[in-house]
Amino acid sequence: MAHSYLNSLFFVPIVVVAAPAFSADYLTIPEAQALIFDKAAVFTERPTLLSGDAKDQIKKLSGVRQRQDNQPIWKVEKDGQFLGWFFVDDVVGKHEYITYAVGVSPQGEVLGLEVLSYRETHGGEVREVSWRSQFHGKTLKDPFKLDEDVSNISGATLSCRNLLDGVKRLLVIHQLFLTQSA
Amino acid sequence: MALRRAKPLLGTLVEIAATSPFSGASGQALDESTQQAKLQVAISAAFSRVADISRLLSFHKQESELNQLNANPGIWCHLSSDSLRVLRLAKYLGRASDNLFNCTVGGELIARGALPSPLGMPLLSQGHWQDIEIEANRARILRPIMLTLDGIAKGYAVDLAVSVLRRHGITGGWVNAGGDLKVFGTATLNVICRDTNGLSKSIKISNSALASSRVSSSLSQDFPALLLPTGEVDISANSDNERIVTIQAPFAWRADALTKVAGYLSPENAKVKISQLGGELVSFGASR
Repeated sequence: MAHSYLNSLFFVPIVVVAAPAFSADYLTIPEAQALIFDKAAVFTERPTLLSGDAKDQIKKLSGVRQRQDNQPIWKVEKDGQFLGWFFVDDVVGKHEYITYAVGVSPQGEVLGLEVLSYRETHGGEVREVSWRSQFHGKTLKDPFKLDEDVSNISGATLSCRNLLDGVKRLLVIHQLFLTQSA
Repeated sequence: MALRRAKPLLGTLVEIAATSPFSGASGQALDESTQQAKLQVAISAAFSRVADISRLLSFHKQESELNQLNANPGIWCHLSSDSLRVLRLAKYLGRASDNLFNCTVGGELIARGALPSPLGMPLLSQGHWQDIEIEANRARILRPIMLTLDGIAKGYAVDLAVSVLRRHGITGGWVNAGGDLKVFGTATLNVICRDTNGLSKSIKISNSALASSRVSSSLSQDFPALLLPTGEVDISANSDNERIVTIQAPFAWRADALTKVAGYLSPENAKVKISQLGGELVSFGASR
């Protein structure tokens, strides 16, 4: 395409970092559980040990590698009623891990997402152009393609993309291993 | 008591912090769990406002009000008051800055692959603020241009989140959407602004907003481009002086948008122009 690129400048919003630490612990697991579900709900830990085969299956369906053998999962009930599942997961942010929690309904819908802790060593750039869909109400039927969900970019926005991929991976785990066992 | 939470929204991590309401009030001191619950409710409400803006003004969501406008050049669209307000602010700043702030460059961004092309219709690569018409409850674009509100809506969402917190009686805190930051009330925040050469300087922020952008003249698939508008511009496109512009202003929408304006100007002119437009140039770091 013949196009003059003269006279152009490019903007990359950057992150200002609150001093002194480039990291933050936001919520404990019980706090996130109470927020996403209900303080009165009962959370029963059901850590799921994933075999090599299971991990391959997850990778195949979600397009994202399952690093952990052991995925922390809680079954959530209130007054005998089954509310869904609570996951804790790590994804790589820009350089370090972001730990986050996701609530998933029995039908496999995202009920809520909270970042538990965020660690950053180098700071990062975030690009403004990428408006992202909220996770809320997402299911595996929703497109998790980058162009539609998050624009494909580098910088600290990477954290968002990896979070989105992480959520998709957790929904696949739900579909594969938690739908019959409820 | 203070509480911080973070969620992925607006394509970045949005952090909201709030200190306990009713601090210093002469009334009955609330117990800790009641205070915590009040903080959580306020922060949740603030996040939900940010999500509203994302839904209304996202370029990446086909059903957003922004895309409704983009898809129907020449046709009036009824819009929510949030969308109308952001459009008014964008138009005002386009006029005030002689188009240095230009939210009508979406076509150009699509042509360069910086934004996805949602419509597949022929587009003008860019327009100007006069292409946007706004009435009491509706707006339209006069030509087939693509509006993209990236340069202002994130800041606007930050301001909204702050006003939600205030309405919930929160006495101090901050909202930080990937670098578009507003600190309010009793809170003070030390922030570190990094320069392109890796040097940092620390600034104390209270009761104001801060935004930073990196300005570079090298094209990258990864980053959006904004064409130089046909205004009075100092920076030659061939000067490869990457720099980071940081602006402080009373509100985040203005700080956010003014980083774009400053990027086109020399340091001296930027200082003057930005203060004419209601902001303050905090740093204009060129990398060497």
